[in-house]
Amino acid sequence: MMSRSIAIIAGFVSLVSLSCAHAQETWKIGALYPLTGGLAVLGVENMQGAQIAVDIVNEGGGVAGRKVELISGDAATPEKAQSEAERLLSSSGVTVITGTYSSGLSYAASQVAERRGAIYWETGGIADRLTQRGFKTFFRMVFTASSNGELAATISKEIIAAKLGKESKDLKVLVVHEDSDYGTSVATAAQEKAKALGFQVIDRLPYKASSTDLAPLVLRIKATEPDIVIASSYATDALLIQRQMKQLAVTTKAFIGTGGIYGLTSFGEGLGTAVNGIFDTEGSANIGAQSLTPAAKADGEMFRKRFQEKHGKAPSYVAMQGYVGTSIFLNEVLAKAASMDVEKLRQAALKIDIPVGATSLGWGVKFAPEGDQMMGTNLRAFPVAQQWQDGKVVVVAPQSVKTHDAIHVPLIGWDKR
Amino acid sequence: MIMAIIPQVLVSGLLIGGVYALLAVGLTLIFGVLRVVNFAQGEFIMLAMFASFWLFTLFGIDPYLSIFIIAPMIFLLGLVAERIVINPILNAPHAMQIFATFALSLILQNIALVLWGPDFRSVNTSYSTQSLTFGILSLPITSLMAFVSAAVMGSLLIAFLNLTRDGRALRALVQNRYAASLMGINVVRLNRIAFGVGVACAAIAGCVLTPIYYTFPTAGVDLIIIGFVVVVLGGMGNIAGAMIGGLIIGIVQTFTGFFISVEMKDVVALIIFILILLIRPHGLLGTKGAEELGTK
Repeated sequence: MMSRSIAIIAGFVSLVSLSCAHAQETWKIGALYPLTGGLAVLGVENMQGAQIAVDIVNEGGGVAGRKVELISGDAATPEKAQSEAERLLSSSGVTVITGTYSSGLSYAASQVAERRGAIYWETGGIADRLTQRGFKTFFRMVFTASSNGELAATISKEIIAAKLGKESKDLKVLVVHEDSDYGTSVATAAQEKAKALGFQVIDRLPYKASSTDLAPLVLRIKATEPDIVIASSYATDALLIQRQMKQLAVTTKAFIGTGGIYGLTSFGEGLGTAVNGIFDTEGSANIGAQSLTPAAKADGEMFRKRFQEKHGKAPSYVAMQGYVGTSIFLNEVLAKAASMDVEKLRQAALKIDIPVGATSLGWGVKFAPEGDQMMGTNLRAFPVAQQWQDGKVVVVAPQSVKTHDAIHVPLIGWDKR
Repeated sequence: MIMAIIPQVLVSGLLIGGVYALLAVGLTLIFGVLRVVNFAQGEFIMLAMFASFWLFTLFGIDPYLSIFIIAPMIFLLGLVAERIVINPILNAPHAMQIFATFALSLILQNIALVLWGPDFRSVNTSYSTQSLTFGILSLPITSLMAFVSAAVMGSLLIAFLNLTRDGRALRALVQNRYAASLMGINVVRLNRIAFGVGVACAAIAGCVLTPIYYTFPTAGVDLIIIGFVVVVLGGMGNIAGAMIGGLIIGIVQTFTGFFISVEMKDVVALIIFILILLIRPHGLLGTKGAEELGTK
């Protein structure tokens, strides 16, 4: 009787431990992106890029013989981002979370991670203050909002002022932006840099991204007659501003959008040919191959092909950003640490030293060290300037990575585009 | 240059006021007759936008023409929704009513997300960015059409409410539900019709707004907020009030945005909302005390 019970219990215990062992075989990484709500369009693509990175690593045998698994959470709002982060860290027991596409969401979720001593691997949020909090376990792969804003000001001088044959002091610049963390950081940086470069910066106008009507903003643009408008927006407002500018007959010599929104296919579709000539500063999935190492170039082509096959469309910069960011974590951090121990992962991350041009986005990877004011920022990531030409977005600056020259300076009239 | 733009600021304010009136008319009718806040009104607008987008993309039907197909469809959908969601909670505590219509709004948003994904769709017609120009004034065609649609829709509704038997019955319900039912009015049937008409108005709004904004599952969420402000300003259940309220908010917002700051324009609308609730809760044209009656 006893031996039979013991046999049953032993059998049960071994079954349970077998299944436990099976469950422990994968490396679990938390993945927080906005999968529903207003930011879902790009949040989903961001995650799709990350998933492809995981798929490729798993096909190659995983990391240290174990497969990688993304445990996803829907961070549709900052509140949800926080609660999902809590859930991932406590019930799913992950020690690393990656994400998050939007600065506001990242800010919220990473507070939770810091409190619980987990690594936060940010591949998309650009607001400067994300890495100004002194968090030891927050790493940001992408360039900062201020570098994005500064680039807009720089091309105002190097491309637009140059092509117009004018000095910056003879040109008026107006900065408009949506009023969240994201828009404000980019706009403030653009404003400061433009002033430093000698432009007459008329004003910086914040507005709410969810506004149903931006006629007051557009009429202010009309009233102040700037030569160059630099804008930081989300999707619905970006479209609305252009449409209302056309409807109210407001023209400028140049319009520089910042951030992925101004390069989106839907932006182009919404405006038709009126989109040609508009600039956009952000990262690019189609950076000039001349600036990439052969390995990076091949990696980029492979990713583009794979994304197209899996999702039926070409990957945007945001998809590639998720891919590169997650690949670096898997191949340089997890592989080298071979453990989910936060301190080992952190040390591995701080040791990364990849030169510019060695990733398919054209960036290198080296994180600002401990004690640095921007601790955790990737110092070798940079935005590029693009322009809509013939219904497509092409890279026009900096010199080393461009694929085309800038055209349409000054912007041709609305009816002629 | 600033002085010369003021007439345009006024015109733009009036035109967006027309859009606001469009958003508010259906809401105020439902609010007035059923005494239920339809938190899903924005989603009926969104569904109409999607229907309009698909009709345009697949069959080339102009959004303004698609009104004649979509409004009746949404009317029928409204009758069904009233039967299933609204009627059961008509006498429930306010919290339950809020939960019910809010739940409906979430369900519709997520059905749209599952069916069509989160991508931003746009309808680009030949007149999407054209304007009629009169000297220094530009009247964007899409905004003008929204204004005209609001005017026509409002007028038709007012005619319906004043000249038909059912219409007069609805006005009686708005005035005093209990007395109206004592007069032999079939309240259940009229509630259903009012809800159907209310969401059909949302459908018309959706079709007219399709050439202006992106279409996506949460498009209704931000659009409808101003609708609530206008309903309160105009007076619950009062169509003319919704139209005038829309124009007032449109003008106030546009002037505030132009002269003070663009961010303030949204704050100003909500300040007006709070002030009306405090000082004159029955709104500009509502009957005094009517806003309390029928809401337990």
